[in-house]
Amino acid sequence: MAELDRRKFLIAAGATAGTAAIPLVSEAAPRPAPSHFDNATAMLYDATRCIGCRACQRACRKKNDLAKTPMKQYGQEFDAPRGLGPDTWMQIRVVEAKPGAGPAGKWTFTRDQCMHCNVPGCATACPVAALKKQPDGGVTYEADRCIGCRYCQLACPYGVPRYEWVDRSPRVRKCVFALACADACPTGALVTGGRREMIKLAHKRIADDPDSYFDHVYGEHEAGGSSYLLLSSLSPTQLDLPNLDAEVRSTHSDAVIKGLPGWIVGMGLLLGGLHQMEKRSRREDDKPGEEEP
Amino acid sequence: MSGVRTNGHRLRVTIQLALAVLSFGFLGAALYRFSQGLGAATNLNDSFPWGLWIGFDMMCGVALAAGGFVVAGTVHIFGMHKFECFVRPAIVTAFLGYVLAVVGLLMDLGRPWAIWHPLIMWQPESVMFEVAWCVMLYTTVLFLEFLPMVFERLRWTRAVRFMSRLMVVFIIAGIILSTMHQSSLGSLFLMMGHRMHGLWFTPLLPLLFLVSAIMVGLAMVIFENILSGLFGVHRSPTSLLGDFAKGLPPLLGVYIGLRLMDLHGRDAMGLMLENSFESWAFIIELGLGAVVPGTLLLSRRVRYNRLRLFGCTMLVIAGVVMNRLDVALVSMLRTSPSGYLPSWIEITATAGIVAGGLLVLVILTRKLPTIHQEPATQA
Repeated sequence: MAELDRRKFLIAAGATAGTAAIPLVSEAAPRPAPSHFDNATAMLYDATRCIGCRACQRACRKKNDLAKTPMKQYGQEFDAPRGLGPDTWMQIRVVEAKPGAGPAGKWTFTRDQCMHCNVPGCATACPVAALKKQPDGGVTYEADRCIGCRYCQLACPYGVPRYEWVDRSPRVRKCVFALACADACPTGALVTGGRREMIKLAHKRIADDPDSYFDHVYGEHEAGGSSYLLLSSLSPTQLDLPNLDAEVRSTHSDAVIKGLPGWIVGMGLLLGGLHQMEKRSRREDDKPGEEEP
Repeated sequence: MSGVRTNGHRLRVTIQLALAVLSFGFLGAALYRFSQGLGAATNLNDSFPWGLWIGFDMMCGVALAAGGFVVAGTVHIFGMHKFECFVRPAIVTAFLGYVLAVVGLLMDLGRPWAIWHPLIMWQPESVMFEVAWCVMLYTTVLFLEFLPMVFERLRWTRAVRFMSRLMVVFIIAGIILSTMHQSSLGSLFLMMGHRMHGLWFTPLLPLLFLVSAIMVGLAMVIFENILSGLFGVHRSPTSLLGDFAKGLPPLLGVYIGLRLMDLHGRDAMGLMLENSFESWAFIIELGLGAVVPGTLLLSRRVRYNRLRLFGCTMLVIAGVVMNRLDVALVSMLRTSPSGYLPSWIEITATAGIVAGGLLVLVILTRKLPTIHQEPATQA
């Protein structure tokens, strides 16, 4: 290794400090929703057309071979699941407007499932790419790759992925975008098509009948946009959907990961240089003759 | 005199027995967890998927193992050779710390038999992928740094010489991997802004984790040395420990400065005064764990007094442990409808892992030349 002189060492040290500071301190600029999913398949749910028949729920259970879980909670029997679960990948829910927040007594159905984000937090989090965004729009899961770290559950801003906590070989469970639900819908509340096309359709419906809708297409921009879009008479807050900005979930961690090569090179130069300096100063301290042959 | 010695001996045997019993507790907990599943053994659920095993075993285990790279860097990179006697105990502890973190991880993973998957199934955008690689590589490096002690014990002189020639490479690789790994444990939480309390979620998490790991590494080295002195294994001179402690106030100062800068920059200062469980956890963590020991250690009378120094390093360690638990658990309580308290199986397993580690440490310290190089193999 060539000996580093003082100037080179300072440059190396500066580079290290620089590479360390950039990914950690700089606030990453918000990115617009990626456009390369414009033509991917998206599903639009229009709550104003939903009659709450839950044919979609039945079709989902059948298509994905999901067990019927006992719908019992707090000792009470229910005729429908209470929230998503390992064997409930979607559900229809009734929402009544909270008092004071809208017209009194106003209520709607809504439909919970995986949003199939354009840039999914779960897929970025997954260390083994068991969760993956497919070019056709869906976010899929491969149990054979999964190590069971459950980072996906924490990274999902919608809190969607469920885990088989009682299983000895547990899997992550969530909607895999089979779209059987859309085929089963008798009223056209669920429609599928190209993402851009679906967004256009949603905005047209709002424009044609502004009194029936809350003017927001949920999923158009949220967390970088998603392949599941919701239209409703109530606001997303009323539906208990998280209020997210357009930034993808991994903005900060992407910056850290991208900074790593710089960190490795910088630290290598710094530590190597310091070690050389230390070795030379030790040699200068030793009197000649005392040195080992 | 002989009475004192027997008492000390009896105490040592009692402690070792207690540690052994606790380690057996771990075996029981592990049996239950693997036969009944995670849901039965833990209080984890879909709204709170990470608990004690990640928050303590992994996060704290790795942070407390930071002494290894901190001392190696101090001695071999910054050339402060008077601290050479701290290197070996720190490397043994770090190696054990990592092995224990991995044992905790094996308990926590839903599919522990697939733990090797990141080796061949790459997803380089994932922070967890980076963590997995850093754990694997750094545990290997620590093992290589630990091997010479075994070789010396076996008097394999040639192997010792060969290893000592390569040691600088291991040490530099170890420091780079450590800085990456310590910070990446903080980066893991960068995608959890929607779950975490504003006092802890910040884009600066990786930097804060790195700085706090360096300071707790330093504190751990002093803490361990005083402790092993108490047990009559090896007593380092107080002056040397005090000199080493000089590094703590500046590090704690930088850390406190970063925390306050971050809070002020995010307009989150007010959260400290919200008088909630979280705000008090934060005040205790930063106040008692950093401000108090940082201030006290400025005084010579604290640094060069074994008992006071011991107390201060204990505060620093407790502060960093609290920080990791706050980030991983406390900060997410409010957004989880279920909340979380570890189950007794989780606690038994964790206590057993720590006890097992201490037991192995005691045995290794006695059997291996962890304090001094064996004269026969000295270059």
